[in-house]
Amino acid sequence: VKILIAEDDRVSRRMLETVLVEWGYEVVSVSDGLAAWQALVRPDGPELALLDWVMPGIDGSEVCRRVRAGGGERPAYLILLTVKGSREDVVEGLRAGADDYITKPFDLGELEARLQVGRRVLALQRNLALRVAELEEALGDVKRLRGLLPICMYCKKIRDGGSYWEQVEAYLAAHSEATFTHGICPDCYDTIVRPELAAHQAASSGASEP
Amino acid sequence: VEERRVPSSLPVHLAEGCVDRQAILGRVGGDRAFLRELVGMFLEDLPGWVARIRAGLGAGDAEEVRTAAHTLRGSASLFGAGAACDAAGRLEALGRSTDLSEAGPALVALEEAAERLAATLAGLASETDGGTREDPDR
Repeated sequence: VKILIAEDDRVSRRMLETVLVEWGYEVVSVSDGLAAWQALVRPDGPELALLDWVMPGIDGSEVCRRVRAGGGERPAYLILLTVKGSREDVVEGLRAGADDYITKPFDLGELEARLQVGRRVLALQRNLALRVAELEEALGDVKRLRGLLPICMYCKKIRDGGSYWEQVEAYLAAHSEATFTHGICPDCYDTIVRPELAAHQAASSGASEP
Repeated sequence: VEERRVPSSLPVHLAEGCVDRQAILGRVGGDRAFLRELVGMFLEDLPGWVARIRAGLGAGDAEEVRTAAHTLRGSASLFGAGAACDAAGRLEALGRSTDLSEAGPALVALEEAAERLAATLAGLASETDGGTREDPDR
């Protein structure tokens, strides 16, 4: 998992880098807010981020605000780094779009647990996006069968596009997930098959007479 | 829990409440070489932060005082440096309020705390290893 560390204090940054690499993360480090924002909006940018509150350039909450304003298909999970006793900063940061915060000095157990929460949320988001894509595809199929279809009053062929008329089953097979098995309904059996059989029998008995 | 030790080269009153030795070692997983690297960085950067705060106070630049004090506080907190964090916290609050009129004594307190902290950390970093890792819970 790729993770961004945006922290201007190199002692904190080095400590976080070492711990996160040890935990198996692919770490991207920057030391100012603008670089953090640029890293997050890249198409292959990290989906998890630890953002220091006070940084040169733009601060952590402004990074959150810009990332959220940008929308995007992969909303990153943003954790603000604050210093103990900065409650107002936390409130402002969460309002700006941060998902969580962690207080310096870091407790490694807490940091690990909060990152796990982030990964869980990202996985849920990914699964949800996948399901939405599936549903949108299914909806697209349904929509193709809606609206006015020109149909022949006599033979019931359907006009597909310009002047091409095709059997209703061919049309449905091409525009939906449906497939057809052929049989004979009781009405057609009485009105079509039975008279044909009778005619066939009459013809064959007539032919056998001398 | 082991009684908190301080570097033997330092008078006890200097290191008392200055750093949280157990917390530091816990945070670096008992890795003394890594601790030395972090202390080295911190000791290089500490005078710069104090100088920025002093210059900010001289110029009446509350924002500069606030941000430099904040960064110093965050970094010092990693070493459990209570006194330096408190002093930096006072300056940060004054910077935030933009009223720097009472910042003089806070700066003096920070400079004293920073001096003690630097001496303590330098002593801690120069302690002999007896191995590269030390169990913080031992």
